[in-house]
Amino acid sequence: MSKKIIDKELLCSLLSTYAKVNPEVAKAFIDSMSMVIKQALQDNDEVRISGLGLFKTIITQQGGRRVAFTPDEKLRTHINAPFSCFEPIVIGMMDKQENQNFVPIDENFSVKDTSENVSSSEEETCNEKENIERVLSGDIESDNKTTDPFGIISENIVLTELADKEVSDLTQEKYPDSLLPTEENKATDISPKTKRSKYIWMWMAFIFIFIVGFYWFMNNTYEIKTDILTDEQSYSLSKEIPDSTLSSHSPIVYDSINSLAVVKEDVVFEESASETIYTSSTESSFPKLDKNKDNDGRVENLDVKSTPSSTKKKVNEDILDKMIKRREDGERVFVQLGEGERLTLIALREYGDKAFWCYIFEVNRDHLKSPGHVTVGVKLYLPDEQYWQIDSTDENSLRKARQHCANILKEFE
Amino acid sequence: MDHKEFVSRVQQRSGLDKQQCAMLLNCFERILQDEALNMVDVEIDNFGKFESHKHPEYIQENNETGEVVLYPPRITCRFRSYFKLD
Repeated sequence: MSKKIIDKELLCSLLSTYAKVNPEVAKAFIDSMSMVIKQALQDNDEVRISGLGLFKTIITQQGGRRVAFTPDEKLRTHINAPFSCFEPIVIGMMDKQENQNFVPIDENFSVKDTSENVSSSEEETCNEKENIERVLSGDIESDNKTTDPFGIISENIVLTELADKEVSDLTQEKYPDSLLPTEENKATDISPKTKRSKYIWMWMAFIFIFIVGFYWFMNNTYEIKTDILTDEQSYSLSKEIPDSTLSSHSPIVYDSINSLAVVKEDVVFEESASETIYTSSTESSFPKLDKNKDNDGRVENLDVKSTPSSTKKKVNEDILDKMIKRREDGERVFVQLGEGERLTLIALREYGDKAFWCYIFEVNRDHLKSPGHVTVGVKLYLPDEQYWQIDSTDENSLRKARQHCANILKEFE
Repeated sequence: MDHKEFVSRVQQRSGLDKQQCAMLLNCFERILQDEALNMVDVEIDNFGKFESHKHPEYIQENNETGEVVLYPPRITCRFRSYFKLD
């Protein structure tokens, strides 16, 4: 394809059109301009025309002179205006170690003897080609040791991926999103290694979610926490529970698999000398437990769950004996916490006021984490009334108990 | 020779007005810029030819820093003289 050329006549006509002058005037100007420049260059002088460029003479290697033209900055900017939006971009770095000799990774690797016959070497060459094709197709890790003892292929692949990543980052910064490839095209261009890493992340996320869910399930299944009720809640609950319910006793069914006590009503136990637990199964054979009454009937080998000893205070056993309420025969009186029961309810039932829950907590401190964290089925010793000066009719006793409750709650905030 | 001196010499040789001469020179520059942008050469008999060349984008490696740089396309303007210097 031949380039278009504007000759002198056409140039004169254009110039006359632009400047709105006679074509002869334009021709005279062109002639004069060319003659002045030619004369100056003959005199070994430079001609600098702003907006056009610099005409000067340079000496050639043969010793002669020739004309050199350097376009002006204005001219260069104007003719390169369509490419002004582009700038030189650093698309990568050359690895200077690329030309170094590679050292074998495997020390036991040895170059095979060249005295082998030609057929075996040809077979090895074919096998190597096949292995290289397999490596390039994505099975890099599985055959890395056998086909790529020097690590050359895998290193080249890693370098190629790094270069692709850098180019993609640069294109995202430089070009608008409309010019970048669409998601559909990207999906077809995902390499096998990228897919594999994606699946690994998905599996890790799935396993993490499974572990968290399993932990949550185990916590919520094996431990039912009871909280201390506020005054309003406990008051409303005490109104809901009639006295007849408090006095009646139903059998306890202890599920050793799920560690759940199914009893919803209060059950009072007493401990015997032979470490067996008496409980009420029917009203006739197991009468209502009174403070001064003994129990009939017995259930042997009843497994009672106890919390681990994670207490903050270790109370001396001698002092503890004085604190805990005892029967006439000297055995400690205790209560097994049923489902839906709380320390306040036990205090209300046993001592006539819920404010005395603090004393129940005090005598059971060694196996309770906190007053708001009492596990269902735990064995709670009852405090001695004389030692703790428990009297629901005495205002001083109540005030003292409330103050003690406030101190305990403040301690476990 | 700077721009003013060149204009005065052209004025003396052509016998034109100085202002007219400056205007014609300005128009000549504009024609040359527009035609170079359109990849059209401007030829003047017995003087020379202004040629425009388009260089496509290219990649060049910097041996010192190791950077591989992608340069954008560009158009250059060259002058080929038709006369010989003594």
